[in-house]
Formats: sequence, C-alpha cells, structure tokens
Amino acid sequence: MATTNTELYRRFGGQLRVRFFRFAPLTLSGIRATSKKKIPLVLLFTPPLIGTVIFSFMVYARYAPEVIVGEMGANQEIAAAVAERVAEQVPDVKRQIVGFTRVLRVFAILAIAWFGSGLFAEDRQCGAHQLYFARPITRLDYFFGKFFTAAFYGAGTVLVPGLVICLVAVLSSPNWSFLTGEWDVILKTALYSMFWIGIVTLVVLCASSLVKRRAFALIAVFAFFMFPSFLATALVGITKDVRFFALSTLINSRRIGYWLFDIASSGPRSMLSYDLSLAFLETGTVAVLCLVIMAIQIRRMEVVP
Amino acid sequence: MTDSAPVIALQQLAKHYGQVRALDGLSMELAPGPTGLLGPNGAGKTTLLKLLLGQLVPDAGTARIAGRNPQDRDDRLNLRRFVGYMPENDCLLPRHNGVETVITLGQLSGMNYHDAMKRAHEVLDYVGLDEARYRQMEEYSSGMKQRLKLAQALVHDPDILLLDEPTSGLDPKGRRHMLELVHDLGYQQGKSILLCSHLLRDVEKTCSTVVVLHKGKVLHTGAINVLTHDNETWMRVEVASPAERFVRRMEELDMAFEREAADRFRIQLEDGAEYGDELFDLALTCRTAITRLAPIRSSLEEVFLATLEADERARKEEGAPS
Repeated sequence: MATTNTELYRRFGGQLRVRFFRFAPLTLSGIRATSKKKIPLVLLFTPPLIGTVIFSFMVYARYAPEVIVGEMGANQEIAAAVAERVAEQVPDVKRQIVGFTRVLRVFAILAIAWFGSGLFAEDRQCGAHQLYFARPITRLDYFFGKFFTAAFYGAGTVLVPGLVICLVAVLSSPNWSFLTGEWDVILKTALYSMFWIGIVTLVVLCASSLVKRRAFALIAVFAFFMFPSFLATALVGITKDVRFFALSTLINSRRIGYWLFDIASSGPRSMLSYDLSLAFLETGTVAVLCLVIMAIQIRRMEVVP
Repeated sequence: MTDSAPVIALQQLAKHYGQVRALDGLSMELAPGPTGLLGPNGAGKTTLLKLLLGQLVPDAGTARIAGRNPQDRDDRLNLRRFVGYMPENDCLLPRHNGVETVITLGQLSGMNYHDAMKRAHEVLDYVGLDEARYRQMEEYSSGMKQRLKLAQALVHDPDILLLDEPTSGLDPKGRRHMLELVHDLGYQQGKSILLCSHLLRDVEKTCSTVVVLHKGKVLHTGAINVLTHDNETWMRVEVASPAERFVRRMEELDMAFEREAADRFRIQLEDGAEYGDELFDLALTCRTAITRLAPIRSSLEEVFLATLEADERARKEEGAPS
C-alpha cells in the first residue's frame, strides 16, 4: 500500500460525458489563467470603459432635447428646432458608433495580443499540448478553446462597449425610434466587431503558434498591423494611388466598416474609396493564411515529432 | 474488454525518424496488469506510447489498445477516456496551479466542474501533493511535478495507465514513493499499467511482466519471475558446521561451487538436476545437514544486459548496422 497522506485511492463514481462544446473547459480555464494578473486588465479595459461612458453620454445628449421638449408639452416646432440645433453640435448616433468602434479597434488589438499571444506559444514552451492531446479532444476543439479565450478579451474591448452604446441609444431615443428606425446599426455593430475580433484573434494566434516565446508573438502581431499601415500610407503618398491602402489590414478594416455602415467617403475619408473587393481580398487572404498555418502547427502539436 | 483479452496488441508496428528505426516491426500482445517496458535510451519506448495514444502515426503495422485503433479518430477520442498518460518530460499548463491543472484536464476528459474539482483533490491527496497544489507550477520541484503528472493521469480514473519514466529526476525518497504509488495502482487498484523505464529496479518493483525493447525490436517478453528463472542454476546453501567434509566431497565430485563464508556456499547445479535432492544426499553422506537452501535468482539487470549483449552479437554476426 502506498504511503501517501490518505493512502487511499478512490474510484470515480461519476460519469464521463461527451460534450458538444468540448472546447468550453479549455476556454474557461484559459480565461481564468490569463486574467490572474490584474494590472493589464485594468490598463487595457479602463480606456474602453471611459470611452463607453463618454459616448453613452453623447448618444444620450443627441436624443435628450427631443425627449425633454416633448415631455414639457412645448410645441413641435420648438422641439424640432432644438433637436436640429443639437444635431449640428453632436454627430448622429450611427456616426458616433462607427467612430467609437474605430477607436476601440486599436484596444482590441492590444487586448487580444496581450492575452492571446501566449496561448499557443506558452503551451508549446511548457509542453501543455502533450497533456491536452492525451484527452478526448480534437485539434479543432483545441483551436476553438484558444480562439474563444483570446476573442473573449476582444469582445470586452469592442463588442460589448459597442452594444452598450446601442442600448443607450435605444433607451434614450424618443418612442424607441433608434430600435425601430435604425435597428440595422445594432446588427452591423455586432457584425463589424465580430469581424474585427475574428481577424485580430486569428493573426494573434497564428503568431503565437509559430514561436515559443510570448514576447516574440507580441512583436510579430504589432509588426503585422503597424508595418503594412506605414508602408501603405507611404506608397499612397508617393504614388497617389489609393489602392495601396489595401496592403494594410488595419486600413482595410476601416474601409469595410464604412461600407458596412454605409457612410459616405468624403473629405479625408475619400482616401478610403478604393475598391472594396481589394479590402476583402486582403483580409480574406490573411484569415485563410492564418488558418492554414495554425492547422499545420496544431497538427504538429498533437502529433509530436 | 474481457479480462483475458489483450490490453495492447501490436502487429508489425514500425516507425522511422529519417534513417533511424524507432520501432522496427513490433508485434506483441500484452495482458491486463502491470507491464514494464524496459530498454535503454532510444529503444523506442516513448515512441510506442505516443503511437498508442495516437500522437504519432506509424509508418507500417497496427496498434490496438483495449481493442481500439488509435489512428481512427473516433476510436482515439474514445480510448483517451480510459487511458491515463504521464509524459516523461516536464508538462505544465501555463499560469495554472496544481488543482487548476487537474480540474481542467478532468473537465476535458468529460467530467463536470464539481466532479472534476472533487476528484482533483482526491487524486492530489493520493499522490501526496499537499498545500503545494495551490502554488504556481513554476515553483514546483521535480518531485512535485512528477506527482502532479501522475495525478492528472489518474483524474478520470482510467483503466489503463501509460507511464513514461515516472521516476525520472526524483531523489531516492521521491522515487520510492512514486514506485509505491505505481505498485498500489497496479496490484491493489487493478489498473493495467505500461511502465516505460530504463531503470530495471523500477520495473522489477512494480511490474509482473516485462518487455525488453532494444533498437525498436522486442528482445524479450514474459513474466519477470520466469525471465529471471531462466538462468537459475545456482543455489545458495548453508550447512551445519563443520563443513570441511562437505567441501572435500564436492571437490571429489568436481562440482562447481564458491565458498562465501565458513558454512555458506554458492553451488551450480547441472542442467536438469532436481533442486536440492542431490545436495541433501551429499550432506547426509558427509554427516552434516543443510540448514538453508535457496535458488540464486539472476537479477533483471543481469538478464537485461545478457539479452542486449546477445542481440548485439547476433547483429554483428548478421552484419546488420547497429
């Protein structure tokens, strides 16, 4: 008999179930483990939080005069005049949401890169994949487990704040006019946020799967987003051909955002009037490449060479 | 799976790494119970375990574990529910402590959170990982890591355990403890264990059956006591004093013997000789008495080395590259 503390081996009396979402424990444990250090959480989530509060107030300010004047029973002409005056000062809600989401894209990169860049790299470094792939999970489960861990942080920085602003717009608009008249903005905000979170998460995880150190993955991610943007801007500046903007995923995401929200390109934004298919081609290629690289790397992690 | 059905069945299993033959047409069947997979470094032990888990793809042949084919996706997922694997090298879940590691891996095996948590504490108690279970694993000693690896292999209470060098990097006390645990699991808890080791004593202490692997081939397989019996032609004999007449008589009969002490001898019996009968007769004629008679077993180490030497000789004679 073994001389352990209890000297007792107990049989497991429960049941081992086959779950549909086999990756869920991996995601939950990943979120638990990556969120242990609180300082990065505070640093990366405070700016989106402050932004959400400010933009919520601005959205409220856009609708408030109409509602207040209406409730006071003043005549409709005054109400319309006040609303018009406010509209001149405060941009319309759709533009506010688009602008807000555009700013938050950068925080999504920061958060996903910080919390996601170690997900594959540290597993490889610590040999964790040998333990995972001795369990009844597939490579796809493993990928989803990591993907949703990183995407969780992206959602916290861009999707949730975007939806909160939409909620404020719904609640503060008179007669639910935002919900009835501009419901598509809510849908588009969610769609655009998920598109961006997906692309960034794929890039971060791809970088993480190629290296054994988290720091290298972080550098690779920022290089990937920053270098093409500088290059594209420089090339456009030299050649005056705006199609060079399509080299940058960051700029392409902006182009896709304007198209999705149907915001006209004018002024400096006219630079983003290049062919939309180029933007989709670049982001699509990036996504497919990342998936292919990860498929190869995860296979190597399961089938240990 | 019936009790008599082989737990592991290999047929012409081969795996090459470039020019190196890690496994060279391995065929064998292992019955339930603790089995030692013995071989020097590079013999192909770890490769075999990874093939059994489906973590490697064989170049040829088939492997079945509890009747399931690890190369088939569904079978592989299924078999991992009742197979526990303890890898040789350091494996940690980054940023997890001991309990979190075992809980997560328990959940991935199909447990719900509460079962996994309860079970994690049970197995961590069993392996003797006390307060350390709450520490970050980066702070663990080698012994703690080994215990944790065993705990995670046990969390889902598997019927089959694949243990790869479980005593690697342990101090003597930790090693003894680990061997006691493995022995307990094999003999008291009825687990089928495939224990990979290059340490003969580990296998001798924990297993009833041994497979000797060398350069990807099975050199020997069988029960340890039978294996060590093969060379059992020497007896240790103690006689009542004085023993001089007994010595003279043995010399007259031209018997092979060594005197270990005044009244204690190592005596070689001829092939086919009945244990002891001749010696008792001999003692009687010398007017003395045999006070102790016991066969001298070859240690597994002697058998192992003899097997390896024989294999090397055979390879040289065949002119095969070693």
